Amino acid sequence: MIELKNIFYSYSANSSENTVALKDINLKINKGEFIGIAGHTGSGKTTVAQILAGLINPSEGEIVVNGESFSDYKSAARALRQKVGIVFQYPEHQLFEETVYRDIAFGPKNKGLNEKEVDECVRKSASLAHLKEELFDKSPFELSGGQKRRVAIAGVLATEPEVLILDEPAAGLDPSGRARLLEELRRIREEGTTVILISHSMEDLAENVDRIILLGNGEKIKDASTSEVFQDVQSLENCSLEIPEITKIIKILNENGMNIPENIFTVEDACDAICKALEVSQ
Amino acid sequence: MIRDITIGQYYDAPSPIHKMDPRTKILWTLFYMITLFVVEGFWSYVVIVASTALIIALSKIPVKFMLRGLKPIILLVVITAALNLFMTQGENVIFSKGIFTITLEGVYMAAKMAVRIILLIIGTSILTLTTTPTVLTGGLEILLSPLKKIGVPISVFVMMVGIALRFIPTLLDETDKIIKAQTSRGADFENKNPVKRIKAMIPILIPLFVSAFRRADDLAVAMECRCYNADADRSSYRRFAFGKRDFYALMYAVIFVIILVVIKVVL
Ligand SMILES: Nc1ncnc2c1ncn2[C@@H]1O[C@H](COP(=O)(O)OP(=O)(O)OP(=O)(O)O)[C@@H](O)[C@H]1O
Ligand SMILES: [Mg+2]
Repeated sequence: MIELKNIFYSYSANSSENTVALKDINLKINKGEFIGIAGHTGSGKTTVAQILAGLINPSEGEIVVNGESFSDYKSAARALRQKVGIVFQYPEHQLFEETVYRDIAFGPKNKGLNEKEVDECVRKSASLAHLKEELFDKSPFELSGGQKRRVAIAGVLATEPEVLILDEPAAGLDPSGRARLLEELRRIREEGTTVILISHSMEDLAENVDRIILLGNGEKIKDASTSEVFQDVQSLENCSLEIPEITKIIKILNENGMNIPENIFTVEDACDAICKALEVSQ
Repeated sequence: MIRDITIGQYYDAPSPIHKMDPRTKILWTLFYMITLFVVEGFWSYVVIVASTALIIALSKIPVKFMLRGLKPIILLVVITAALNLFMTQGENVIFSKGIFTITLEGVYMAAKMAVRIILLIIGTSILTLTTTPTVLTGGLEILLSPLKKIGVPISVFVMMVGIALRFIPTLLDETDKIIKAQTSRGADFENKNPVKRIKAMIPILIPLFVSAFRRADDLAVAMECRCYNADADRSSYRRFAFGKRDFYALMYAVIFVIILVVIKVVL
């Protein structure tokens, strides 16, 4: 659906040297996928996300949207903005309306929908984001941090994007808030939205996404299915990332004489596999 | 877009201007600003423009970067020039239609004001572009310290200037992020209709103010927690010393004045 070809991007920083943030990035986003983007701090994850969302124009490269190639970045950006919604890190900092309801309605209103359609959009996205309707008349500034984040995410969902990008959406949430957020993402994905999750947490990626794009120093290191990426320990280490904790535990168990398949990345799968291995050995 | 604003930002480069004592640079800027508003006549401005160009070249700040910084003030320059163009009374009418009269004096006045504003902005941005906020405020504090004797709260003032300068890039980054976030939600900042354009600022300004207050509050609490007292008599780990470069700057200023005086007398 969206394709980036040989994309370069550099920030003209306030010094005599330019920072090249992205080097020769090629990637393809297909409809209905759940994709993870991982990489060390400063590897270019946010920059890629902003290009995908049509918020910054690459310095070089080609953007293809729905099979149509754009050489003119301005129209490419317009096409991307219509398709892609992005939830930035700490999205709660962008709330501005007097009430929660009106803040969520900002996006659909900009799309020119009538009042009834806007109302439908708001209610639907609020329920997707697990936001109670009692909060609709409150000021967004009176809410707790987690609730604010829900409002912000609902505000992006309300624009009904075909592709939803989330940049570290779980940062600063407690474990249960984190689990609930990921659960919401799975639901959004089931509704047919393509979801791109940027995260440092290998556990979150392992349990949710189908495909992982690894970035390191602005270059694409690997782009493969989740299990394939986690088996390539070398690439992960090159990006200063680690395999999920549970996979490490399995490796340690195997070193100590157990025999469990090592392509296991979630706690539930590990549970089953360990039980099975114990049965066999008895 | 928002990154075009270079006022108050620091641009790192290995240049003699960067290494100069901040006090020299502050005094130079002050001197430059005064000169800018007292000199008259075409040739004086030629000299000022030339010496400004020389300083920019020495400072190793790309000309493109300097010019980009002028973008936000274009409107101000245009309005000032237009006002001067139409409002100045004069003898030599070159164009007249209805209430609009343009005189030769008006044209001179408009050109002079435009050049003055542009040079003023360039001159002050050279100071901030080549000096980090901490060094700048350090220099300012020493220069203003005599006023402490008559009870002016210089330390507080300098601290406020320092914090303000320090927060310009932070708030610009924040603005950039908010603009992107609202753009992604379909906000339209490029509408031709001026009323709609102003209305489109609300979703940017409110989060920006909220975050500015939050940051100010956080900073105030953090300073309070460390028992900050602006009036404390404190020393600084930074020692400023005048050196060869500062002597050259002084020589430069002297030559600059002599040339301007000569022009005034001769022409
Ligand atoms: N506004 C900016 N100006 C200049 N350089 C920038 C800017 N934003 C990012 N960079 C640089 O671009 C590179 C990529 O940054 P990016 O924000 O995409 O990293 P990231 O992978 O999102 O990191 P993180 O995990 O910390 O969010 C970094 O080297 C960074 O220093
Ligand atoms: Mg980032």
